[in-house]
Amino acid sequence: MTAREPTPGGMAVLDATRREHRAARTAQRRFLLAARLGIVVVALVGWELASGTLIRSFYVSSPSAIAETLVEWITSGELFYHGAFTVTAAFLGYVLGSVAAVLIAWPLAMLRTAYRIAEPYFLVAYSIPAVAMGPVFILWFGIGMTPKVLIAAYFVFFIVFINTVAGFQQVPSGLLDVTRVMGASRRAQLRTVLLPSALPFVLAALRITLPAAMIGAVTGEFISSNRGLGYLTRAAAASYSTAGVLAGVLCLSVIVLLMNLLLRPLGHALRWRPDVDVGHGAEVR
Amino acid sequence: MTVAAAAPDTGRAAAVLASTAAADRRRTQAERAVLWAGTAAFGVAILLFWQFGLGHLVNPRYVSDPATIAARLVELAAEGEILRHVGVTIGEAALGFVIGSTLGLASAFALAQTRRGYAVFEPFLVGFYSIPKIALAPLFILWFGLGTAPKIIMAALLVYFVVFVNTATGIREVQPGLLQVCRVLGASRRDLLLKVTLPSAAPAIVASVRITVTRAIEGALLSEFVASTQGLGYLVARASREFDIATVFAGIVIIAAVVMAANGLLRLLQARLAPWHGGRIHG
Repeated sequence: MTAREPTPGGMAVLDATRREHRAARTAQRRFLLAARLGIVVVALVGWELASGTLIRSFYVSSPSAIAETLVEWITSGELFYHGAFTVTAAFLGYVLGSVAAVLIAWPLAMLRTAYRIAEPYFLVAYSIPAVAMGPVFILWFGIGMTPKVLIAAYFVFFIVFINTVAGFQQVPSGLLDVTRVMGASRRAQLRTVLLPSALPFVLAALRITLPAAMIGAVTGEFISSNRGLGYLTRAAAASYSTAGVLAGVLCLSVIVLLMNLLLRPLGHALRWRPDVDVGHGAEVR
Repeated sequence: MTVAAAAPDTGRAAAVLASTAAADRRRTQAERAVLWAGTAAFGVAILLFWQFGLGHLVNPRYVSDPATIAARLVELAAEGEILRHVGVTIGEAALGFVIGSTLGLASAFALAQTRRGYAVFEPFLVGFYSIPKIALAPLFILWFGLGTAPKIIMAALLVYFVVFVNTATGIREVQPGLLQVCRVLGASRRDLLLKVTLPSAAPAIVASVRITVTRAIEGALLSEFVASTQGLGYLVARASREFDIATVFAGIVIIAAVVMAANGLLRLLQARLAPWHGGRIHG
């Protein structure tokens, strides 16, 4: 059956339908944009007007006051000073935590008995809320950068550890048997079977743990510090500056959002393994 | 065809089978014994090293030792003070958990009723989701003081988003084919919700509710760290300020026990409510 040339009338109908379709989709997109913008504007204006009239501005501050605080922080360089500290601590903790997790999980996952012996202890350690370890790290390492890096690493470690182990354990044993029968050395097996099949799990964990590291660093700063966005937020709260607290929250949110965007390509890289879904411990607190 | 009909010497076959089964059982038993002994030995080794070795490597003031921590635990229990702290924290976490998960479920179902509504609100939810909730702790303390209210709200907030996101995802992942067939067969909106949407979203909901128990406890603890006058977080934070490392560790032991108990309870509940589900969730 050969495709018939559409008649001119048919073409016109086709074109019209297509145009209609496109128009509907643009209308839909415009509606969404308008609705979202509308919500933002109404919320901001309502907030600005209500603050100081309906509700005491001490409690809710106001968008203009927050913007003012932000501008002040930016011009005085405070934002950069504190932000750089927090981001550095989070990033170092992220690297430290994930490298340590992979280095410990990898050999442990290869030795089944050793893993099963150690497993209950890891589960116990995992069930200690990372937050609770904060004061211990502060006690051990003071209030500088080190404890924040370690708390961030602690937040990251278990998620990456558990996923790395899961990744190595779900390698189909059939593949291992077949490659062994075909004469693969242990190294060849590692390179061609084990690593490729465990990698998606590790990557998935790495994708979700950068924000976790950020939250770990901020937690450390909350408990005790003299620098960082967490400190800035807490100091604002201590001086009853609601605008300062909200500005700090805003900065932290933007950083976490940016981190999520930054790591999104990792998610795309995992498209071929849709079954990999790290739920456990994906703790964006 | 039965085994008895095919094999004339049934007795021998049965004996072989029995001996294989016995050998199998013995092997698994031996394996389990090795694992058990290994696990116990590992634990004892850690404790012994902590008790006798670690103090020589680092200043014992920093790491305390298991015997001191155990003594401190007994002391705390005897004072009765600890029960109050545990009760406060569990109460805050439990209330926050109930409030957060109820609101999460309700708002997810409400929003899922309208596709457009979900589309409009989605970016805001993503934005709120990425707020590090702990950063709000000082704000809650400004708003609600040093009592239990800010702790409950923090716990509820941590629970809310996880339950909301997972419920909304669960609802939207209902197979459209099922909904269409049921609608063709004359199901009302209520039927669709109760007989199709809810059962197919249930596993995700139950699993997300389960993992959020830990988060509720974390929320309560964190708020207690920031400012409080009672609770486990207060106990640990105060001990840490007083450089009383044994009490800090005793507090952490209690916290871990509470978390594990809550998790175990919820896992039992999950096995009852959604036994077909392994528990894969979006954090």
